[in-house]
Amino acid sequence: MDNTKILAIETSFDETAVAIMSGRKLISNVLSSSVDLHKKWGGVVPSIARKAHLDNIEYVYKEALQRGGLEIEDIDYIAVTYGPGLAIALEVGLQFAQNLAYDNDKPLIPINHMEGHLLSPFALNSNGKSVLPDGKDIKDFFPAMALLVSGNHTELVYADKIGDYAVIGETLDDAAGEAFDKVARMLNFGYPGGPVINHVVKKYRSENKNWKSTIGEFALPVPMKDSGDLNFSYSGLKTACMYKIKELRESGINDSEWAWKFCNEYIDVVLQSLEIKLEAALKKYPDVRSVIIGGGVMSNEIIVRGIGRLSRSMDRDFLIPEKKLRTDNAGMIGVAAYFQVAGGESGLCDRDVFSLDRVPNLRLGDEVF
Amino acid sequence: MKRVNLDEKLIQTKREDIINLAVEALEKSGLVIYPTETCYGIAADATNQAAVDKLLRYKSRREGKPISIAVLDESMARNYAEINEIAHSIYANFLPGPITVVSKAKDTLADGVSSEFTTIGIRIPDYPLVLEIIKKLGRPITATSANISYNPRPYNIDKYLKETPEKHLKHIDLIIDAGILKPNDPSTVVDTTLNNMNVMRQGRIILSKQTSEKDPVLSAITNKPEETVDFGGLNMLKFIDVPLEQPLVFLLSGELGAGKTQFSKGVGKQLGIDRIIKSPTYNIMSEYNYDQGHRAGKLIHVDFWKLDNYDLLKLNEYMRPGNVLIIEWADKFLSEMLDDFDKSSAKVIHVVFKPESLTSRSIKSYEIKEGELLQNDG
Repeated sequence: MDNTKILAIETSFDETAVAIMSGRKLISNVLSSSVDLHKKWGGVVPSIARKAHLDNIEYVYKEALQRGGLEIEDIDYIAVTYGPGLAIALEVGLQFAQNLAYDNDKPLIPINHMEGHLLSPFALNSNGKSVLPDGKDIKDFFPAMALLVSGNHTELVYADKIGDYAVIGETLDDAAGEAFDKVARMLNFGYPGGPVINHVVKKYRSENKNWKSTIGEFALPVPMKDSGDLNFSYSGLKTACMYKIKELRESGINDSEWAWKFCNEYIDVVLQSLEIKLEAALKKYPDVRSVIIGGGVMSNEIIVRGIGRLSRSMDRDFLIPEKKLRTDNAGMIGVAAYFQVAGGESGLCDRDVFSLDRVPNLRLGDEVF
Repeated sequence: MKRVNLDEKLIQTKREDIINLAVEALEKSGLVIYPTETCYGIAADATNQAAVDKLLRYKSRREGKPISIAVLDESMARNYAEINEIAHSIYANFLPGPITVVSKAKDTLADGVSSEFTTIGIRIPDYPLVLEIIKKLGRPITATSANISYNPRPYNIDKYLKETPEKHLKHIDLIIDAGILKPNDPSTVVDTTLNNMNVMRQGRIILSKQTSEKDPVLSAITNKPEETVDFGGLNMLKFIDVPLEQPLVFLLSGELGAGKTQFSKGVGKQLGIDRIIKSPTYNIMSEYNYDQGHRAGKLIHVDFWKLDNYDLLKLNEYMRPGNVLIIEWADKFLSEMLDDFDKSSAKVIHVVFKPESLTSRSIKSYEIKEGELLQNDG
């Protein structure tokens, strides 16, 4: 079995992450937010300021090697995210990767962050286990439709095969995860707000078995329902929430009286907006054999369940990466690099590694390397 | 180590005894394993240094990972942390439950639970027995999961005992066994110390008196997103020649959902940018090239909402002729920006969004002269 060792680095936003692959097997996957940097910087939520400190990446890198039981000499390739993302954040990982590759004479593989999300269900965990349905080859899942939804992105991607992608729908303004955070903010939920909304809705639904009858009370609009294309938009929903919350507060009713129901309806309209577009995309591309999901919003089990139900009802395999591979991480970058190497990519060598520049607004299908 | 069973049927008779045993152990700086709605937790008196030290020895290799605490209610929390408006809202509306609320710690807890300039995570477990123990003790207990570092979170005491080496187990004084717990996820951690209310309330940019009394250079009342886009275009058109000589900066003030991104789309459209102008909240800064013959440069769209350090962005490098900058949530780093405006001789337009009715908003653009932009310290 292939046991090429790839060390992958991801710093596109506020997370600093390093992972190691042995073939398709993810043997080490370390995030700065989960290692013990707390005392140093205070706070538990990742932050741009904290990540910019280069000693963070050094620490995460060493921890990844140690957990993988490897030395840098054992590594065959270095992989790094070069976009999309925040320029100053991408630079941290890119410079570290360039120096690491050059100093240790390893080829450097540039990876598009979104390709990482898209290929993450094809990782094997450290025990060699897969999340894929049994009895199929990876190529049997393609063409695939990926629905990638995070704080930063809301995209539908048609993947003809590994390495061949086209963005067929995207948000025109806010990403769905961003809207979650902002509406949570309006509700005074703290940061990150998405998981709190999810918690509130789960509890509400378990205590109110007939919760469906309360949906529609706040008249929240399902975004882009009739737009006729595959694009998304969440700024109108956000504005509708702002006015509704204002109206409720001005009427003098306590938040605790309505916030539960409000969150319940909010999740429902977001899910509907995703379902409507996915359904339209699957109808438009009947050759698609599987639906792949990724991104932080796909940690929300209510959303995942809805998308899974829809995919199966349309006779598509539903590929869902392990939970820790859905939010930003370096494991997914390693998986994408694995497939590039397997496809014959040899990477940048020697001084050429320094020719790689970050591309903050990189899109799938626009890769320059 | 003593192990007691918290059997549903026995609760009436033994409940009181179990609470007494737990409180007694905690008062003697002991460690108590207890059930919660997420997994088994381990309690030490969070104000007792000897107890917390013992917990850290038991856990081993913590290296500064935060330990959260469990309290009875919001008023107990206030003794140990600064509870701001957001935190208060969560306590009032959503606790008890599996949410850990991070606040700024007061100096009233043992070292190792909180330390200098650190935050503290606080929970109110949705588990009556635990609340009764805290009530009787009168102080918060630690609320970290009962496993030692790198072991799985425990849901089953027999399994936990097998997985935990004797040298760790010897620190445990009491185990309250409630059988096999439902494998619920750990609690959701919410940070209330970021973006505190005062900073994040919009409209804090204030102008010197003569400016605020003067008329806006442009104003509109918009009822639909498209009208806000058009008004953005109008603003860009009005100042279209400015970037030939100096950087042009739009500072946008308005609440969440006020239409700031729509305004930005209009500016982009006027510059002939055909890429979709999206909200820059998560990317913090988006860059778009425009080229209209003798007018060419970059549109830099910035949102300070999630930024915690202005200098990292090196915004001054973008403040040069040719470039148009749109800055959302500019209030957050206004004083830092004033210096950069000054050095780059930027032309600054302040655009204020205010809700007019439930469906419409008024948008007013003011041209800012040197010295007219003030930092509001209140």
